[in-house]
Amino acid sequence: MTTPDTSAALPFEEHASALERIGSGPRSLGRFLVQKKLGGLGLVIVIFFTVITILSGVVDRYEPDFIFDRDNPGFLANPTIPQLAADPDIGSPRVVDQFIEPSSKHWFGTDKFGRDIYSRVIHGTKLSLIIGFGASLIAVVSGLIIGVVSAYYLGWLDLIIQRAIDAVYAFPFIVLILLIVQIAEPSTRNVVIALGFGGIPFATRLVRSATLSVRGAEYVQAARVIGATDLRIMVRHVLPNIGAVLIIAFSIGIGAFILAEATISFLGAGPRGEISWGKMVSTGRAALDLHPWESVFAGSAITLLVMAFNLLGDAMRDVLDPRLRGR
Amino acid sequence: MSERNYWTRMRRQRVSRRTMLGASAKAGVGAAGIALVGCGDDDDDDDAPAAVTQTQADEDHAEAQADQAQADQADTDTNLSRPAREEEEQAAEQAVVARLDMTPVDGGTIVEQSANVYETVDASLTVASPVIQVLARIQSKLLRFSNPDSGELTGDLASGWEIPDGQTIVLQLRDGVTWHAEGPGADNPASTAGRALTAEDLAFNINRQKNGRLVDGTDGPFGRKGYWSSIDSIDIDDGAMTMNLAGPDATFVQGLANEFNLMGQPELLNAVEAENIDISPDKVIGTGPFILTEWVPGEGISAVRNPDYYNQGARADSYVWIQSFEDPTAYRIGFEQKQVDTMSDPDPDVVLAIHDGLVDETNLTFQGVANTVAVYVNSNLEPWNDLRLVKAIDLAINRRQLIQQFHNGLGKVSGPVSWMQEAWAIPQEEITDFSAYSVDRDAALVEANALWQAGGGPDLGPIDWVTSETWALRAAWNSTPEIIATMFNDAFSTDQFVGVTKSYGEIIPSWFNKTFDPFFSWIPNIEIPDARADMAAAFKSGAPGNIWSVSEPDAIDAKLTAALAELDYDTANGLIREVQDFVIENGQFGRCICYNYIYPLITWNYLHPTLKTETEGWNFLAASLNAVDQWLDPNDPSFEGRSALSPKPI
Amino acid sequence: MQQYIIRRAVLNVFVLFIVATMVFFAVQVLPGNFATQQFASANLGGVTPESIARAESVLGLDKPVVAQYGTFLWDLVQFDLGESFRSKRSVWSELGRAVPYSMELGFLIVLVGFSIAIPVGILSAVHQDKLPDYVLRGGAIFALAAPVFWTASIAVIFVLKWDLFKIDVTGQPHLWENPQTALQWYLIPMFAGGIAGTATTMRLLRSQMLEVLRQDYVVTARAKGLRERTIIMRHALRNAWLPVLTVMGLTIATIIGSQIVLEQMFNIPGVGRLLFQSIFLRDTPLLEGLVLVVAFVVVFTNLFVDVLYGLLDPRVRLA
Repeated sequence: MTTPDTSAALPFEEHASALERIGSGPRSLGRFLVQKKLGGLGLVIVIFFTVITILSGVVDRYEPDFIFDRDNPGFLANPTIPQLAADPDIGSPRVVDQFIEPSSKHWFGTDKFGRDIYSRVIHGTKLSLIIGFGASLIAVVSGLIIGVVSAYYLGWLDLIIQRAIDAVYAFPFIVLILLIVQIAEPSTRNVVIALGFGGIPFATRLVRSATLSVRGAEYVQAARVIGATDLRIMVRHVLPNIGAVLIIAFSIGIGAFILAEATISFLGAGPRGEISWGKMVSTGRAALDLHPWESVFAGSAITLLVMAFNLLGDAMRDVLDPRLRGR
Repeated sequence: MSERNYWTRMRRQRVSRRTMLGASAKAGVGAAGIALVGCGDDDDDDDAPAAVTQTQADEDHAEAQADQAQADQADTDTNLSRPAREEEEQAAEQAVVARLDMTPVDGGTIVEQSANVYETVDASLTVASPVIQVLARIQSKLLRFSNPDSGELTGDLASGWEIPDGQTIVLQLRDGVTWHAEGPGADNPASTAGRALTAEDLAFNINRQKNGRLVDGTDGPFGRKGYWSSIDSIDIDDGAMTMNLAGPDATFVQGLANEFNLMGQPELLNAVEAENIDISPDKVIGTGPFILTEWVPGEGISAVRNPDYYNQGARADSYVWIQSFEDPTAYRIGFEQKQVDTMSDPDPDVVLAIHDGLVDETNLTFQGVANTVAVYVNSNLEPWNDLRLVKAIDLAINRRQLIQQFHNGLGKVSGPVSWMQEAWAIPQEEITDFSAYSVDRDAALVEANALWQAGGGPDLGPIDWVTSETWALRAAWNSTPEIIATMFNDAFSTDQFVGVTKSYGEIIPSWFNKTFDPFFSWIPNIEIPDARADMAAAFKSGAPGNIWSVSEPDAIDAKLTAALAELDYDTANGLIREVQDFVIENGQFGRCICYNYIYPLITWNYLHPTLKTETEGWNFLAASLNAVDQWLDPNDPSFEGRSALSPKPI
Repeated sequence: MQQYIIRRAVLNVFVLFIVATMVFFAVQVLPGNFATQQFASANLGGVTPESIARAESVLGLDKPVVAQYGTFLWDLVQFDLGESFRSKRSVWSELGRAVPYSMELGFLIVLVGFSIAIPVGILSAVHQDKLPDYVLRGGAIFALAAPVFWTASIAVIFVLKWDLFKIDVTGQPHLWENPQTALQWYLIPMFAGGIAGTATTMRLLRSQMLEVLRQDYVVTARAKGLRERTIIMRHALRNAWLPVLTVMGLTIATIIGSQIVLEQMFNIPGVGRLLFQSIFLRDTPLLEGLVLVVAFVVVFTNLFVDVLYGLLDPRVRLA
């Protein structure tokens, strides 16, 4: 079997060739959970976060933007600078509840602006899930279309498409995202599109090599002989056989995109007007020794969610790829 | 009249700061601005000028003591026990005095953080203070502030000055000042190294900015052209320069000490003018305490001591500025590892945290900051041309909460004149009479909502509120647009307000076109203690800074014109006060000033800064003050571990 | 083989042309330019539209777009990347300063990362679905999921509070200049980045190992009574590692220019930080030059890896 020459010979071609032999994995969810304990754990965590997002209005204890403050009866109308230096609150009739430690009133404490961190972490789930799913969906679906078309037809079309893909891939990823987000306005939708776009090269390569291996298979050639249209062949024969690759790529992509969004938000270029865990980690980090709560809890949330998707993805790969199933 | 003794004396007398500042502000404006003879060089022992201010100081001292009694009474009222406080204060004073009395030691390299981008090498062509922060140590001004709080002036290139009448200023020029004899600027064939400074040099600088023309005949971006245009003509006569002003202007002499009015060498200025935006050290020569040796934007700057400096000489051997860290983590690492000697931040959080952990080895000075924070509303255009809406916004701004949130409470609300220009600002106890500054926010909000409804606010649909990128990109402040939007949404029980960011590069041109979106962030700096020029620039009909097209001939223009020419402080102050009252009643016409904050500057104990106690002083004036008196003490216990890591050569 | 290399190289040039066009027009469409952004970093004074316009004309930003594009391409063909607007040094010179730092950091990250990823990948394949697999994979996945900037921030605070070692953010020594100081400076970033950056490698190695371990020749080797250790190292690994090599190559190829966050936090004057700054400053020549160089490294490293793969794996024929 010749290896296609017009792009990097990815290991996935070797991988994909075996997918001709797709068999059946554990068909029931229960068996999945038992056999793949880590995957099961991942699934549970993902469901947990999804439920929290849907119920965020209920599960949060306060409005995420509400600013807590208290009276300061001892304030001075005109404090001197030394007085302020000794007690910064002395000039305020109402004092903002900044950096309150975790307590029964504020489970995760409050942030610099007097907002409840727990409520903000809860509401931040939404952005992570939307971006993770959205970007991964865009990347995988685009990769699917481009990759299948490119690999099926080969020739000049393939050549041009692959060069464009290579160009996007060679462009430094974060720079690409930053540029797109700065050109369009920094909204959630644009960040999803930018990230999805950035993920297209990888997805395309994956799909392309998988398609190439399937393309040469006998049943495909047979279908051609009996005169099936290209589209029919693509949908009926190619698609199901690369499905496993897609599912795995999708689930692992979610984790990667959540991290990417957190990174951009950390750098200050994330979606405006939304609560982002990455942004929360950045806000509190320079004075972590005095008030680590915001950074710690937001960072933990990111870690937990990304970990869950990675575990899930790994388990699904194990299941869907017959060569990797356990003894 | 050295600054050191002045401060110690005031401190020992435990005069309440407000009173002292009020008194000496009057003295500053009065004595320095109006007095017949100005206090000159620190070394000169002029009894006559001291006498002029001394009587006033004595009178005010009595007043001050009365105020002190009042302040002490207030102390007991606020649950602070007097004996404990006194002890604390005395201990602090003793520590301060002990540090003040140390004998300075020469030598060493002081490392600080610098900005990232510079737009020119020519002080006259710049409008941005990063350039000045560099050049202030290299070049000199005619006068400088010895005490920025009181406006007390002292001579720099002028050794003394007289003001025979409101329209004439006579400056005695200092003997023995020379241009740098070494360094890249001196080695430049276009400059003349080591020659004496002449009156003609100074006249060149002044006339060049006054005319506003470049060598090629085109108009140049001379930021102080308007200021220097107040001079009608200059006479030079035997070591003295006489400035004949076009009209009486009591504020003019303070402007001579404006940080931007650095003097360059004519031949070099002309030669490099065509390429002044190309930054390199060989384009700069000065008469100041340090010689510029390296200047690479994005990397760093270095300067070495000028052995021929006319004053007692700089202390440190050299200065190195490293490129701005930009990232708070990196800055913190840099400071805690003693790789930069000072650190400050508009958000005091990190600095206070660091000091907490290093209480015995670091020193905190609290400085008032001349960058005013304001909300700008475009009253030129719909819908904000309805002043009811503008006033509603002014009332809805929760100034004190913003100070709490962004600056941990370190700040004070400012009216149209910021409290930093204390002699002219509405006193803090009186400004609370206005709803926008009232302590009773609920009442203010009721009024705000009534105005908002009356002006049709709820029908405006989504309203974008802009925060500058420079503000919102700070890690700790990255949710500012949302905070501002929430503040207004909560005030008006709506969800119309949406926070967005834009760069100053987009914002500033839109100010000049009067097409700007509603805005919250820093606004142009205050540069001198006298507020009259700033008020005129903002509110006088047709003034360049009047981007709100305010036109009130009787209520504002007439009063400002009178105030600018007025030599009696009390009268002038009264006029300015009337203008401010009027402005606030009208929602500040869209120029809604919020507050000025205070930030802590942390230094390692081994670095002795000039400003040795807390001041209300302006941060960027510190550059020229520190140049002479800042020194490193290698014997201080905190010095250990510093020399091990040093900045890499540029 | 030669034909293949030549053809690929030509195609790579075409790819670089696309990248150059992309970055050029992206910068054109970005609001603001260097002249306007200069004042963004500074305190405000009397900035006027005239001063901005003047700065623009000096920088050549007021010429029509097509003309600028033409100049850009023409210069590019002569390998002239222009001068950085900010520092006025040539872009090549800026690159010359920045690339060594990025390479050092990249090298260390890759070193740490692969030292962890490879043993973990092998071990978890060998003990699939048993306790060691869970622990190792779970631990590794946890570490991979923790955002780099988070772990680095926390580590920094610990180092500062307990004064563990010096992090030289201003001296910025190279590894060859002062190995110990440099290593201390890079210590946190290399571990934070290393642990996070080699996820794909570990996963791939694991799955490749799993596949290989089921092959007939492995079963045969076991039947022959060879020690498990020998089987793994001699037979399984040798056949499994080729695809992994490809991915390792890809990781290395893309590591320059991708460490923006770590470079910012530790003041490492590398390519990533320069890229980030030049975006916000709209320092066009610098940004364009950096992107092109990074892209160049990526596409030609890919080519190199493919050639290597072709040479090493007899089953693959590069047409």
